Amino acid sequence: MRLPKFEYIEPKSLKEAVKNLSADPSGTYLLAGGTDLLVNMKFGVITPARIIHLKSIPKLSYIIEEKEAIRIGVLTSLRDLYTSPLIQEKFSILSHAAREVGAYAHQVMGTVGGNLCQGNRCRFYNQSPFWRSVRPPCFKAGGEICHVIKKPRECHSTYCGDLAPALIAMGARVKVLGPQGERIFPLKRLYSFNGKKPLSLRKGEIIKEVIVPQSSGKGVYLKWRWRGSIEFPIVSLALYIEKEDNKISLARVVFSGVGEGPVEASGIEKMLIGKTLDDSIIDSLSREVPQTVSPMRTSIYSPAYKRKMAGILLREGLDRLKWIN
Amino acid sequence: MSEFNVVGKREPMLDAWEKATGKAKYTDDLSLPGMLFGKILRSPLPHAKILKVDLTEALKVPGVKDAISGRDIPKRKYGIVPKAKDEYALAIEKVRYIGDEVAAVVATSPEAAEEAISRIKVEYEELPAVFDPLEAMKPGAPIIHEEVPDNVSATIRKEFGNVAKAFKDSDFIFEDHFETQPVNHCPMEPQAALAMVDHFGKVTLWSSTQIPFFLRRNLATTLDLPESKVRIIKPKVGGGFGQKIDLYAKDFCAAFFAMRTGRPVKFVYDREEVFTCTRQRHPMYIYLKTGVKKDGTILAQQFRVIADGGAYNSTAPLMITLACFFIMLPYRIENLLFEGYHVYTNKPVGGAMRGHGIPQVRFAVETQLDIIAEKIGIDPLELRLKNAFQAGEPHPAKLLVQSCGFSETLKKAAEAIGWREKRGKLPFGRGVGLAGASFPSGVSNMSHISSGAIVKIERDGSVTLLTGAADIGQGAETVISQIVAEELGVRIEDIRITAADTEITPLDPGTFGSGVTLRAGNAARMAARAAKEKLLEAIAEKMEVSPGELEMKNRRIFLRENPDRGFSFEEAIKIYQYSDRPMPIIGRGSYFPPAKEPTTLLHEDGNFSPAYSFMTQAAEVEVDPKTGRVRVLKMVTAHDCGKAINPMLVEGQLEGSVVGGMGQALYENIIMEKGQVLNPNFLDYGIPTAMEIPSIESIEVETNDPEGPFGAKESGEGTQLSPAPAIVNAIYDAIGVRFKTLPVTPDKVLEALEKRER
Ligand SMILES: Cc1cc2nc3c(=O)[nH]c(=O)nc-3n(C[C@H](O)[C@H](O)[C@H](O)COP(=O)(O)OP(=O)(O)OC[C@H]3O[C@@H](n4cnc5c(N)ncnc54)[C@H](O)[C@@H]3O)c2cc1C
Ligand code: SF4
Repeated sequence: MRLPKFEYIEPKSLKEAVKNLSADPSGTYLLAGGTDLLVNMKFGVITPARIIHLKSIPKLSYIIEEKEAIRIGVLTSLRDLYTSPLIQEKFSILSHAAREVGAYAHQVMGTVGGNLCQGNRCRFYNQSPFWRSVRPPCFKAGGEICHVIKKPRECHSTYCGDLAPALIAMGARVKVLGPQGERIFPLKRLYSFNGKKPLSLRKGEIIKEVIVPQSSGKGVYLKWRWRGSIEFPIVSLALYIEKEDNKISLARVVFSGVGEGPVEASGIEKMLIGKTLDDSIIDSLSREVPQTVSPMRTSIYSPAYKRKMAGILLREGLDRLKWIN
Repeated sequence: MSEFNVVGKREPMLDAWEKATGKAKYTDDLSLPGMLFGKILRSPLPHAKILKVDLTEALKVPGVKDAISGRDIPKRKYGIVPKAKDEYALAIEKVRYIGDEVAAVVATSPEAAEEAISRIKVEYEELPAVFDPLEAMKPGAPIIHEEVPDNVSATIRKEFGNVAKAFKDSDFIFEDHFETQPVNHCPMEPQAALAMVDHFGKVTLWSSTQIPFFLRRNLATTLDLPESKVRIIKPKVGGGFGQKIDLYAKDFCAAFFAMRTGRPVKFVYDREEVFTCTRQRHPMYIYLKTGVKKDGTILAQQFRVIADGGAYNSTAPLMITLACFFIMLPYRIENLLFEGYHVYTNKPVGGAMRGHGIPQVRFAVETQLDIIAEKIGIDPLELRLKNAFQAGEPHPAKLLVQSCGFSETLKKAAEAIGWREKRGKLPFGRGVGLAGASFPSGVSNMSHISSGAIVKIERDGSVTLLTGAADIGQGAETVISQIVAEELGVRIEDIRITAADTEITPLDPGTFGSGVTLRAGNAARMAARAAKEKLLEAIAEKMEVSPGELEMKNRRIFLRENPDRGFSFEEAIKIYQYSDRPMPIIGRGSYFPPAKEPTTLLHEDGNFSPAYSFMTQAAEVEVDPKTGRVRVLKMVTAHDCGKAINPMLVEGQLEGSVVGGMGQALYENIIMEKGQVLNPNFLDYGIPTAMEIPSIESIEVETNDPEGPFGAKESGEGTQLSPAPAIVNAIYDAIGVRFKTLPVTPDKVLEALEKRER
């Protein structure tokens, strides 16, 4: 499978990139590490008229610690992220998540921004033109119907990124630059939960930086897949809690692989508040999980299996955090 | 000191450096001036009549030079087994699976070729399809090939002893059903072909093939040319495992378009095509009934095996026959009934794959042996030892087993895995298991299985070796060079090898059935010996001794009784030349495996392989009861390979093979929905990665077979027969759950554990 033809732009600054992107937002795509975009282009599900290569812009790869937060440049590679002593020490949930992405090649090429903005996935969509020719094109690929739920004009393709759940659990925000200037908003709001257009970025906007607040709590990232490398999460969990007097004062429970965006299990979060983690709490909460997530049959794994594993991951995560103050 | 200088040494593969540095040239690395790029249009329907193929729009795409459909090609069927030919290079009247070849184009760029196939318009009349062999066997099922109205395209029924009586005499009878899944060979190099036609109309094809001479025959047939008009050259090949023994549309199309356009043409399959449109290991339904005495003696076995062949035959009759023949070893089974069926379905095609029909049945046998052992209260190792076949024993089906280290492999593997200390004694979640197997070193009684070799001793003391053997990454060229170097008493670096070019090198059947070292190795050794005799004759004349008194070793020719008297290799060659003998010194060898008791495999009893290898795999596993994940901690593979010509390469073979078996046991599965492969890529097809590889201990049991070169037999293919049952038996030891369906994925383990709890 070959790349289709496209116009290629190497901007010198983010501003220039925003200008180029705003000129024709629907036909223009940003290229960072390319590990997601180029695959989709070879599959012919994305056919940009124009590509803007962000890596030609200097000074977008950095990790800077400040008093309130750390700032991560959007072009920071996943490998730079997880090899950073600062991240390893203070934000181990992040370094774990980054280390779990794909295989080594993806970690070297792939960027933080690309990871957050990667396309949603579906077994009917992330396939070659030949594969897809067996059925009429689906809604996301420009057709009318969805093969997953057999309804017209709906798409439930699934968000499968590893970083977003960890960052959302840490309360991260993103800084974006657009034609109207900069704005900062919680990362969670980047995701629209619309399978066909999963990101809420406005016309011409580009992510510039991720801001992660300094934290006093503890987190874990647990990714479930069958092999130790390459695969996206079948389901993964980012869990973050803060405690006061051994009682949970803040909890964030975010899943990947089970919805149209990173799924925050706010019901479970609420149930955790004020609790002391003991076996019976852990048991009852983990049993809740399968009912609180509703994955679709967008991968080779069944929704029931994903739900079951989500509960098992929460149990494992809470078990690990049980002893930590 | 060892009696050998080169044989038995851990020589690095001759092309290891080239490959490790990326300099090796595979088919896709080759290019010729003016070369065109091809692409194949494949069927999106599992079963349909082709009503019309319209190439007009494709031909309009800039850069496109030619386009064809099935209607444009010679109506000549091909197939790897002559009597089972059922395939056209491009489908002519109907398509039989999603991925069947319908049309093809060539263009000046791959992009233009891709664009062009998207413009071809095909009108189909969809036909009812069938995806399960049990359904396909029922009366009234859709007929996939008109000539085979019941969809059963190959059968075998073999019976010896008195099965009914033996079951009656048995103290216990066991009946179980097993199922195995389709798996793909996943060679790192996808299938590729490059063709060129010269002024005389001769086609030269560079192809990623395991069997250049068979490919020449098949290609000549499909092109409707005499064999002499076709030359096959095998460049470096990045793995085959059985998947590259068939002719594919890419071979035919490259050659056919080269003939039509007069330009070189290249076709390369993408990974999805490798997964969907080449070959896979046959999924099987296996019913197995075994009768045993109280003391564990196996009295009788009865098999009913249904292999899902997919849309075409490929090796069907051979595959189902091998499945049958290799349950006749490594255990003594006096009474046997085997019924095997190869059934067409509208799915990707089954073919030869490492073990060829046997791993599936082996899985059933070895899993059931553990069931038997538990029921009658015998240690599974003892049960196997009790029934193990021994060298020289008369075989009920007249196999001739001259060397057999099976019992030794059982004992050594058990010892290495810690059987006595661990079996049944590890904490919940940990367990060990083992399983045995046997495999042929090439098959003796088929046509076209002679190997030839030519050895030339050159004036500067170097040696040129011509062999038809096809090195596909296993190291055949290295091993054959070692054999020649040993025979001539020179160093391996003195040998220059040219291999697998049908125009230059002598006939060879190619790489399949684990016969290369034995067949081509013997031929090369014979050729080396013949050249050596010529040289010795000249030296004997000069020294006034008889040739029999001379020895050739360490690049010297000398008197055996008085090693100081002699000449260096170079001096000897000079002496030869000055004695007015003709140069170059050429030795020829042709080897045909002896057919001591000929059989056609299918009908009569008799021997069918020159030598049999034997092996035992043992596994230690850890099962996480929380998630159902199974981790293989350690694999032991004890293998009787006769004599390891190159122990390092044998280990490489054993390790790779074990990992493949582990893939089948735990990870790999071609998942299909209505004939469409859902996971035709390495993201979703779970081939084990480096992260999954356990520690592997290889134990070579040397039995020095009388027929093999320097005593060598098969290694590495048979090894893939029993890792899966060894692992599955270990899982039982770990958690007390018996799996009869592969692969044993975490979801299944979890479900089984939950069921047990309830
Ligand atoms: C075999 C395989 C396995 C993989 N496994 C995983 C996995 O396990 N987990 C996982 O999370 N991912 C996985 N990926 C996906 C991908 O490799 C990673 O997500 C990677 O981090 C993407 O980063 P990139 O820089 O390469 O993105 P790119 O491919 O360059 O971009 C991805 C998308 O983000 C957009 N984009 C990039 N930068 C910005 C920006 N600054 N602002 C706005 N939009 C932007 C692009 O336009 C594009 O649409 C896998 C991919 C493959 C091919
Ligand atoms: S969920 Fe439906 S519309 Fe979305 S990608 Fe999958 S098949 Fe297409």
